[in-house]
This record gives sequence, C-alpha cells and structure tokens, in this order.
Amino acid sequence: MANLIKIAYLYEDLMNTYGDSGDVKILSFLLKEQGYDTQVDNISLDMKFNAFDYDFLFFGGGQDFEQSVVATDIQRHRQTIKDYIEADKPMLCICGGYQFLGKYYETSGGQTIQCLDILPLHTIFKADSRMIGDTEYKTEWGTVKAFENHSGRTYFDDKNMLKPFGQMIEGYGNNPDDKQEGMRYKNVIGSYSHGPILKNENVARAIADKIIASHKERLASAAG
Amino acid sequence: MTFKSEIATLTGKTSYFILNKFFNGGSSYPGKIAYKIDPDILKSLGKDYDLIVVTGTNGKTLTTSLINKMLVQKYNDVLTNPTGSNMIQGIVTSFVTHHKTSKKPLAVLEVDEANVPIICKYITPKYFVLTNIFRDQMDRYGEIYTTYQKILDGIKMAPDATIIANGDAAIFSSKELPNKVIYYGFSDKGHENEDFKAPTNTDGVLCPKCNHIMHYHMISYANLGSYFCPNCGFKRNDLKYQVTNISTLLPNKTEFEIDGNKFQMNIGGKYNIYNALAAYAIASEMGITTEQMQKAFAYDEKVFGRQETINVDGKDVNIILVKNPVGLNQVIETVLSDKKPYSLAFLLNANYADGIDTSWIWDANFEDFDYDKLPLVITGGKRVKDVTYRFKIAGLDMNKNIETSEIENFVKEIPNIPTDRIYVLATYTAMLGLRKALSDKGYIK
Repeated sequence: MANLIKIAYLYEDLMNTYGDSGDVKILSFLLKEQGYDTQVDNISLDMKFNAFDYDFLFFGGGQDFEQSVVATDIQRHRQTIKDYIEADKPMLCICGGYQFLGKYYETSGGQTIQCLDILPLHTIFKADSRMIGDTEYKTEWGTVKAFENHSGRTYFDDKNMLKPFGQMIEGYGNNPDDKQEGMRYKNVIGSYSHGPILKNENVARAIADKIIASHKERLASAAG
Repeated sequence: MTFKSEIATLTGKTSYFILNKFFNGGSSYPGKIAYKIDPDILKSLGKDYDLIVVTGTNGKTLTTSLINKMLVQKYNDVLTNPTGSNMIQGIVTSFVTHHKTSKKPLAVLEVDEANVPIICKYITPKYFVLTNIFRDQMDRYGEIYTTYQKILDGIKMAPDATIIANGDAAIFSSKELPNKVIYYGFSDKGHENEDFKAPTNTDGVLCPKCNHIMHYHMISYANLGSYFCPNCGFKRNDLKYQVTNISTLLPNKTEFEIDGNKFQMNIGGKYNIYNALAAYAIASEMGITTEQMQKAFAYDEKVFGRQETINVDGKDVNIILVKNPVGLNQVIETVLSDKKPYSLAFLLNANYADGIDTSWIWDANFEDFDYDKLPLVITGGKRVKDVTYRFKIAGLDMNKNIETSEIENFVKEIPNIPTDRIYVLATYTAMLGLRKALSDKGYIK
C-alpha cells in the first residue's frame, strides 16, 4: 500500500510509562492530515526485527526494571539499528531510549549496563538528585516546551560527532553542567523531553516530513 | 503518655476545635501542629488501637469507606480518616480528634503509599489491605517497584500482620513475606484455556521471577487478572475471595456476586467492584455477615469527589476524580456504558497534588470516546491547552470544544450544555476548585 507508513515502536509494551506514546499518536495524526495511514508495530522481547522494513523508529522511556531487561534483549538488534541510523533514516529516542544509543549507563548502585554502543555518549544515574520539572529550550525548529523526569545524566564522548538538540532556557536537559538538551546525529534525535515532546508541533512537523521522505525512499528502493 | 505528647495532643485538639468551629475546616492542620511538637505522638495516641491500613494506588478512599461502613455494624468504636487525608499529619489529626469509647478501638486508615513505613514505625497494624499499584504521578511517587518497596518497608515492621492483597496484581506476589497473605480477585472460570497478552500500553507486565512477558487467561482491566508466565510457570495465587459474576455495570449502578453472594452498589466502574471485594475480604476475616455487607454497599452517600452528582440548574453534573492513566481508562469505560446522551468536560491542573507532569494523559485511552455522539467537550484547568490538544489528536472535532480558563467560567457554561448530564473528569485540585465554585454559588449545600 503506497500510503501506509510503517513505524517500529521499540519495546512499546515495556518502555511505556512516561506518556511518550503521545509522540506516536501525534505523528499518526499529522501524517493522516497529509494523506498517510500509519501502522505501528511493537518490537518486543524475542521478536525478529529488521529496521529497514520501517520508515521511522521510536523508542520511549520506561521504568528502571523494564529498562534493564530491555538492555539485554536489544543487543540482538544492534547492527540493524546502527545501519538504519547510518543510512540517514529518522529515529526519535526519548529518555531511556536515548540512553540506549550510547555505550553504557551506570546505575545508582554502581552497576554498568551495556547499551547499544552506536553513538559516543554515556549516562550516569544519580538517584538522589533526580531532574524533575518543566523544560524550555531553543532548537533548529524554534522553542520547545516539555517536561523532564530523569536521574540519568548523559554526557557526549565525542562533541564533534554529536550535536545537542537544544540550548536550555529552563530546566536541566542532558545533565546539570552543559545547559544542553538532547542530541542530534544525522536524522536521529535523542531527548529527555516528555510532555510528550511532539505536542510542540514545530518539531512534530519537521519529524513528520523526515518520515514521509524516508517512506518514499523505502518504496523507491523496493521498486528499484 | 509523655508530658510532651500530652501537650501535643492538647494543642492538636484545641486547634481542631477552633478550626472546626470557626473556620469550617482543618483536616490536617491540627495534626501538623501536634506532630511538630512531638514527632512520636502517634505512638502514644495509637497504642490501644487495632489498626487496619488500606493502601495502594487507586481505590484507597472508597475501600476504606466501605470497610468502615461494614465494621461499624459490629464494632462500636471505629476511627477512620474519611476525607482522604492520608498522610502522617492527617492521620495524627484523626487520632487527636477521635473520642475513644472503648479500651480496644479499631482504626481503619487510608494511608498514602509512601506514608506506610512512617505510620508503621509508630503503630503496628493488624491488617494491611492492598488494592493495586499502577504508575501514578511519576514526578512524585516514582516507579511502581519503588512504591511497592515503600509499602514493604512498612510491612516488614509488622511480620504478624495479615495481608489482604489483590491477587490479580502480580506485583503483590513478587516478594516472599513471612506474613500470612490472603488473596482476592476476579474468578477466571470458563477462561482457563484462554492465552493472551495485555495491550501494549499496559505497564507492569514483566514476570517478577524470570523477566519474560506474562500472559493471561483473563484480564479484568489494565494488568489485573489471571496472569501466568509461559516461560517459568509463575502464576496467580489461589484466591480466597472471588468475584464470581457481574450482571450490571452502569455509571450509577453495579450488580455483582462475590463467592455466590449477590451485592449491589449505586456507583459505577469495574474498579469499584475491586474495592467492594477488598472490603468484603477484610470484613469476612473480621466476622461481618453478608447482610451487614449488603447494607454497607447499599449506603447511598457519595464519597467526597470520587463520583458525586450535583444538580446545577437542572443539569446533572457528575464529578469524577482522575489522576493516572489506569484510573482514567476505567472512568472512560464507565462513562461509555451510559446509554443516554451526555456532554463531557476535562479539567486538568498541574499543581503538586495533581502531579506537575501532565504527560500521563497521553497514555490514557482518549481515543475510545465516541466523538460522533458526544455533542460537547468542555476543557479547562491550568493546563487547558494540553488537554484540548489531547482531545484533538484523539479525534474530537474542534467545533465541539469550548475552552475555559477559569473554573468560574466553566461553571457558567454548565446551564448551556445540550444534554441533561455532563461528566466532569477533574484532577485533584481542579476537583476541589470546582466543588468550591459550586458551593459558593449554592449548588452544594
């Protein structure tokens, strides 16, 4: 079907507790306005997954316990997600989903959990100083207002390769030190913004455009 | 009682008397003062009581109220905290102002999850009634396992207490406890061969023993039901008390059977049948008869803000408190069972008591409303833009929406609604604001 956009919602049944499902709902709504239906597939434990079957990958935030279980399972998909990202395909990762793109995260108990090691970043959890509250920051697409609720502090290991998604006006963002929110690499956005972030239609429309382009490209290569 | 405790008690009593007499209020302030003077006050105040602690995310207030209505029919000296003041100060107030008439009174207390270990430090409960644990105001409470751990920290101080827990919630079977545990739940008779997973937006579906995704023979709502793990064999415990049949499920009437006994309540919602079941379970343990329970269920007083109908110039205004996605989904299901035409309102605030994070509305099933049939949706509260946008994305035609910024403006719209009834879903402080506005105008006596 020419007008069916396929979205992979990574671990939707486990990483689903911070309202980020709203991002996918908003995208489906905006894509519908432009004449596209969407199919959202939950990619969960033990399931097969080829990222190139999809026009967009979404990865939301979850609870610590669920996140630790996902950390083990997701290693099976490292290569396909890495290839997908390197092929300039669009992906949005929020909170836990964002942390997973990096090398590792260190829990408050001092345990190191291996992540996908696709992008040069890492996260340190500090349970006793959670960053909770409204955020506001400037991005390429204008101002964004959101909500953050995380104990993980994310740091870039290669500041040439990764660019921040926004410059803080209010709130913490990645960590208490850098005054920056989120990360951009090719067509991937990582962010700590709940709310959900895409209630900011400026960002939502920009991502919807990327998804449509990605969809057209997938169809062209399939026909190819 | 120590001298310090006596002073604290006296101050608490006096301030309650003054507040109650002259200011028509004061549910937690006297306790706050007394607790400040003597933090150990609860120890001396509560030492003669047999304590029942009711806790969990949803259903605390109604369950406590039902238990109280059952117990007062057999026991003549029962203390409770009926106004939902479920933290330490509010609870101290309840004790300070209770006039004891016996040597061994009962106390039935709704206790905020995080306050369970604080209360247990001073009074050792005889029973814990556990309703459920769902994600709830994550900016305040944190994640479900953290919440359960807080309850467990309290239970650990009372190894002789009996735990009466919702057996349909896997989390209550995730840890081994030295206590006697009794489970209640919904019967899965006739569904034993079914095998399915919860919908993808359900939280808490990982097997606590082996971390695989659990399956179900039957789900009552959210992650509650007859769960089992196909990987390791972990499954629901045997239930001592069971809902065996539900024959009527309307917004203002439910008829159901527990262990074959027929009951009726004048409130709606499957979640309230769980509350009734929890009350049934503890009451059965304490020797309350079926007739006494039936009487308690039939009692027609609406619990403060939990499902109140107020008449405003001929319109039935049905106020329902909402605070988290699972509770809201249950409310949506209940509202949808109304066959008569109705309008809808949603008042969303983001004060501390509401939860300062409003993103939870996106995890609730707004898509389930029948937007073709709904003639009007009024949105309001401090986060009116957020809730309006949620309705828009869910499919509401914006021509059917009225946005009101102030509660007073919302009240002015009520006489103009095109239906006889309006369901008003409101977060905690929005609900308080609405009640006050209706009270100021004389609609609530």
